[in-house]
Amino acid sequence: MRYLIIIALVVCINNLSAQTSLERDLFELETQIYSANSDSAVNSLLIKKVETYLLYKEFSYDLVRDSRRINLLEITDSLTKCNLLWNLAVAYNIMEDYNYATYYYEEYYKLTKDESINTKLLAIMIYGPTDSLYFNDYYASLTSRNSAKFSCLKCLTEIDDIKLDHQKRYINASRILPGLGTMLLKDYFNGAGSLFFNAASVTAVYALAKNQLYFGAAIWSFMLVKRFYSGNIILTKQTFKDKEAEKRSNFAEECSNKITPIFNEFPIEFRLNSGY
Amino acid sequence: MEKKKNKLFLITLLFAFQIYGQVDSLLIDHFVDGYLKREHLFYLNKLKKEYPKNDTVVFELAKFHLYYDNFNSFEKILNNSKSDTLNNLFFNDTCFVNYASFQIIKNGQANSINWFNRSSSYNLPQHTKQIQKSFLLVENPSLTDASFLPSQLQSYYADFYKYNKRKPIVAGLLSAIVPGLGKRYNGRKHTFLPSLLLNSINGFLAYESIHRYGIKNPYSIITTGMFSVFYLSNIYGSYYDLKNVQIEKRNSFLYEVSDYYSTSCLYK
Repeated sequence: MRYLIIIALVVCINNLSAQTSLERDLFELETQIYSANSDSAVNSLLIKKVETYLLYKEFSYDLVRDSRRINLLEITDSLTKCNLLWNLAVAYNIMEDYNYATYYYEEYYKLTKDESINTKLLAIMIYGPTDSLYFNDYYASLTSRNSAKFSCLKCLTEIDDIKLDHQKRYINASRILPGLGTMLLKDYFNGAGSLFFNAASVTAVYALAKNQLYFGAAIWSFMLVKRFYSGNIILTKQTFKDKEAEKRSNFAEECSNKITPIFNEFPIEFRLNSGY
Repeated sequence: MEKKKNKLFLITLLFAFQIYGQVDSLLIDHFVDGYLKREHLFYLNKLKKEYPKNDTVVFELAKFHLYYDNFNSFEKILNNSKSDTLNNLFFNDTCFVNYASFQIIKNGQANSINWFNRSSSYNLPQHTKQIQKSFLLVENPSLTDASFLPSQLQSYYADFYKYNKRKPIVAGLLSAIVPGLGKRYNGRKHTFLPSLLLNSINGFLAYESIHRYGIKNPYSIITTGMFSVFYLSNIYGSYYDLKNVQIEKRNSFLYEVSDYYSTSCLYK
């Protein structure tokens, strides 16, 4: 009896230490692929392999490579094919490879004619960054079902349109008084620094010229005044860009907060069917 | 007695087959064909865990790291494995020796010396012999004749040889006489004029202030200090720049040698 307990314990520990790691799973599937004796067996093992990546949330080049080894025409079971196409559309969307995401999504749609909200949400995610026409179609279709709930999705296409106005005005202000444009963009520290360095370099050149050090005045004005002045304009442009990016990021965060409840209600999840 | 001997022989034979039969080379070819790096490494690490002293596994690991450009790991394996069996595996595989040689000469002098010292007692393939001769040529340009080099490599060697003969002290002296001239001597033709101009401007600034207010004036001290810094750093820069140029030319020649003799037959 005592020995039986020890053996059971050993088996248990063995099982624990054999917790499947991604590498081990991939290796085991690949060795099965290597020794498989039919194309359909290879195909179904490759599907399993792709699902292994998804299970471990591993969205890398390896997933791309193995997904492209699958021969879609060889898959006879339509449910397996549908799930694979769906999974690949979601995975490529996560990897921001929208061309492939679109391809797999369209294949999925052709096969299933799935009109569910989850599917339309996936389409919106895929077409959002690439095709505003398709995005609008799906958006219209969703809002026609429930405009109060889905109208906030519009913000997904608006992120890229977020811009700060009157860039030229700030630059011209900096041309007239160095640092002014930067200060108007509410970066007071850098604006004041810009004003100080420009004023100091002009004063130094003026002092040199007043003391009849003409060569020195010419060289310093060329080396310092010109650089500080043009640097001040570059700084204004950069500050403008930073502020614009900040505005866009705030908008993106707001958008994300608005749409999160929708994705919680209609989650876009992987459909794994390899017995995991 | 005879039966016992036979049994012992059979057991030994079985043991030997077990050791050398661990690595499934067809499976490795399958991994290489599909560029399945992760699975390949997992397989080799699994074998290494099961047979830590098996030289064939170590050899396969070395090949793996070499193939996937993981040179540091390859070098570590090379430095840790000194057994004769392993050396035999390394140096009797023509593709491996050629592949390793053209990779090694691109990855530093110490590695190359170590590699070619180890290979000295083996009959090396023709490409590796040429790579080794080219390496010895850059190590001792005056002792070896460069006529064995193919015409495509001759110009690169001539370029290396030309700069290798030059002396850093001469570059420093030339820059002391005419600022920037040392850079020209080092082959950096485009930096000569800017260097000369910058030093002249600084010299003129110093001259103008000293001429008007004397050497003790603060502005004169600043401009003279600036001129001195620019002038001295120009000399120092020219001196060390030649050393860098020599290393660049040496590496450039060895890269060309490596490209010329490169082979892709590590696995097939």
